[in-house]
Amino acid sequence: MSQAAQKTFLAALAAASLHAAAIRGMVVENQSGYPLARATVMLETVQNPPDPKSLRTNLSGIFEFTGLPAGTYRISAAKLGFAPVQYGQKRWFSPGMPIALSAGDTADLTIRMPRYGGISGTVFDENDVGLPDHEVGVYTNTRPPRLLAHAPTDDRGVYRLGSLRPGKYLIRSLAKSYDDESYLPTFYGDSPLVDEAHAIEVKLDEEVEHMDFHPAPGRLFTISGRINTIQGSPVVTLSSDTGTEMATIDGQGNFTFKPVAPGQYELLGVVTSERARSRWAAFQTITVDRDLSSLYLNPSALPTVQFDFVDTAGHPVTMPEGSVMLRRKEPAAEGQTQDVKAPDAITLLPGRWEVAVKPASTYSAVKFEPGDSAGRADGWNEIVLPQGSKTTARFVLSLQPATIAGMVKNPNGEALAGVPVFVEPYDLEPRKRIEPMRWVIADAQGHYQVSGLAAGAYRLLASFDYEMPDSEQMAAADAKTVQVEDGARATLDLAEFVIH
Amino acid sequence: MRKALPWLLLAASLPAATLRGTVVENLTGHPLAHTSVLLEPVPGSGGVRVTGRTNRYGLFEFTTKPGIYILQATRPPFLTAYYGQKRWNSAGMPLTITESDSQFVTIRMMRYGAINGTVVDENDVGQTGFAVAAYKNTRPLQLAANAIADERGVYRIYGLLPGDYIVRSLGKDLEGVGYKPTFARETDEPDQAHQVDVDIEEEERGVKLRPLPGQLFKLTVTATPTDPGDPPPPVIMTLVSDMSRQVIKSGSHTFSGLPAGDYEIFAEAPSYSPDQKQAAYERIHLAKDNSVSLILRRIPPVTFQFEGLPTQALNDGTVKLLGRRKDLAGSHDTQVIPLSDHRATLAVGPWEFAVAPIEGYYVARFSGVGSYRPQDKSFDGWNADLVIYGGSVRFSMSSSASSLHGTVSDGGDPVAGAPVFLEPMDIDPARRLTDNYVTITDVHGQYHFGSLGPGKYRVLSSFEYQMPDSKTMENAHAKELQIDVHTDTGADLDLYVIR
Repeated sequence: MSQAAQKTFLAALAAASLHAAAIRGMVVENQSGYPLARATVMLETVQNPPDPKSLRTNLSGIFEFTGLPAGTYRISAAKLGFAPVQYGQKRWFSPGMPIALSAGDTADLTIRMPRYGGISGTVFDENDVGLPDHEVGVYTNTRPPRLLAHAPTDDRGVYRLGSLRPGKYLIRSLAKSYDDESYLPTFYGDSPLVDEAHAIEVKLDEEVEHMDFHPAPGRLFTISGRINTIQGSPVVTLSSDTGTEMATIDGQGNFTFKPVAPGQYELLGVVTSERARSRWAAFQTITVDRDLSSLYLNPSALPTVQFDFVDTAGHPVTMPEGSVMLRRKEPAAEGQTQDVKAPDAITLLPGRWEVAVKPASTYSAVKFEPGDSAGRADGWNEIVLPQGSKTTARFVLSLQPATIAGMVKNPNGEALAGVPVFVEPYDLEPRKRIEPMRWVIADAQGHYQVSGLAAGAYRLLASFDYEMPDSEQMAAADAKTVQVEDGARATLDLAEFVIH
Repeated sequence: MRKALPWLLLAASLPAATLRGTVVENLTGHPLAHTSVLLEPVPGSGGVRVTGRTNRYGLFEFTTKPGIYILQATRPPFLTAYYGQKRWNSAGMPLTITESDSQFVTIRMMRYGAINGTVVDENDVGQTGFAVAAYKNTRPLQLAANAIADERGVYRIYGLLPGDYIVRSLGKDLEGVGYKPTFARETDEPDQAHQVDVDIEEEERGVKLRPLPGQLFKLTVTATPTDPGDPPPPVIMTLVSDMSRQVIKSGSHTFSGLPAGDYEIFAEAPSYSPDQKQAAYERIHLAKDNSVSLILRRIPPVTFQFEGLPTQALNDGTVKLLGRRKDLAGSHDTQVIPLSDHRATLAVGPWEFAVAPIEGYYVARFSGVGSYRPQDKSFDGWNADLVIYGGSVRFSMSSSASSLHGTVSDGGDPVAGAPVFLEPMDIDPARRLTDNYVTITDVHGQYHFGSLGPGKYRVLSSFEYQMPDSKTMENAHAKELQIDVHTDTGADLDLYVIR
């Protein structure tokens, strides 16, 4: 670079920095106001692409983004042990308010970070003496409940379940056997039945205390047996709605579990041989109402699943790689979602699985076989794979999915730009939904469009007040419902919803 | 009650007697259901050992022979409680049960102490996920218990006996910063650390830990079995420092967040041979990121020899071999090592071995693969050894053991069921089998210790303690004795009572 060019460049740089905008501020703990050092602060523009930047606060909790061009920005903060925060959000579930900066502007912000909620209490015996080392589980307040986490009681019988997002939960003391007494799983409210369980509401920065249990004494049963090890390494697990336990196994394949409460269980035995590079598995559903001491697992080759895709006229459809997802369905919770790489034929462990076609704008699933032909197929679809089975899973796809479009207006009847529009697949059971809610952002003229929809009923809501509303919040906000048919384009104008 | 009564000599011929009672939680008075209750007879009193459990209402009832008994109750996580004990660490008072009595006794069970607090950063904000350890305030420090701070930084360490402790947060990488192990009051020096006095049934609250930034290192350990097998044998690796033991079920692992210092690595896996294991042990000093490769080799069993004992003593259960593993974090629990044809398969690494006392004998000499002569020159306690490649361990037993006997009295009357403590002063406290040898007096107030090696001893009888330490023995003016080889020494004792 010549000297003259260098001077020109430096002058331009100085001019730019003179007019550059800046965002600075402090991140503090919501309750105490103490500065939060090393919190991650993220900045992104509202425009596309968002051009994200991030930095950490200094020891005094201070951050500063300098040299920003004029524009509109969103700011968020995250720190281990705290609920993530977006600057300007009204409530924990609301999206943040963007900050508009003109050239030369400096925004000075304070971001308050709340802690997650917690539930604590004591597990007591029949004489109000705390029971040590007794597991307590926390579940979603759904039917069936899903186990989220569990924690043991301490020497006083006190437990604590922390890091809980706001919402309603069920808690349950799990089965436990002591020297001379055993206790059955018991929901808070001292009932073994989920329908009599008391749901507990958790809020940010709050601990719900004194959630005490008096678990019912009762008989637990022993479960043991033998697995044919086929010269491999065996693992045997027992799953119920209280979680999954692993058996202790001796060199001869004899397995034993800790005593369990009566109920329905899934018994899975897997044998792995590195030398043969093979796995075998056995699967049984068992009812435990007495000691079971002679169970026998004889693993066989893993079940195979062949995927088949056809359009509504029955013509084969070639799907791109990674367009099918699956997850194992266990009594306590769904397993990790995984992509099916080559959907021709795959081998899976025996048991219950759920499969889904990933949402796309060019097709949607309208039917799944084998499965519940009455329900929608554009969510998770259950498939049962018996030991050693061969199954064909067929998706019928619509190649003309539906679209919903319209305009969002504010309370003054003006077009509203940038507002999130949430779309809930209303007649698809919440548990079967691939994503709880779809959302799009209205454009500068207030127009929105959601495409790639399967035929069915949808609920829509346009609001700055939610980051991701749940069904309850959609209902409370009186979200609009629309029914769409295959290949149809429905028009639905929305009014901005504001929480007053 | 505790004095011997002549009529008890006839107790064995008397019909059954009944003892009823209740076990309650000391703080609340709530009944303790399903508690183990043990009635242990004082020797010669005619009683028999009885065990049972409390019912749902905390009640128990024993029908037994009349006699003098020590009554104890056990229920985790409470301290074991004895009928009539003055304090949490006192011995139980003997309980006389007669045919005509209809006694109802109450045992109160106490809880251990605890320490709680918060791990905070420089702004007093709770820090998530730090491991926290409590140490007995001794030199060297003894790891007592540990805990993990929750997402608010709150920790609680429980199960602590009364005493002085210091608390330390362990090393951790968090949000891009390394934190070195730090004692409460922001120091890495135990002598400058905040001392926490833990009392029985009490919780010491608000012990704040503010970890200091410091450099931490990584250590990658690869353990390769020489018997690979199919499936590959499961390898268990343990990394030990003076602060913690980390157990990993893998043959390869990178340990991170480690402060500079000494570490021991143990790796173990099964082998083709059912009575042999594959194992490796290495001790390292970590001062930078490092990696260690271990080759797991088959470890043959260790052979134990007991010279000087009659042959049948080795086969009839008279010999009880005791062992405890030692590592940088301290001693593991003592175990009775089962011998098969004088051999035992043991984990590799440092061990300590001892022989439980055998009447008429004491350990005159010890030798092992990695043993050394103790500074106190006595072998009649724990003897250190290093188990690496099997080998042979030899105890030379002398039949010239001495004995000590006497009568414990209180105001001239013999005392039945009184604990008698004998401290082997010549043996370093860390090498003693227990802090003291302990026995209780019989119905005539008489006690007896056999199997004593020559040396200097201190003896004390008191209901005030379960196991007094050296300082307590000294403060109680325990009687000092020099015991020579192959002698029987008489020493009558006055019962020591704290007035």
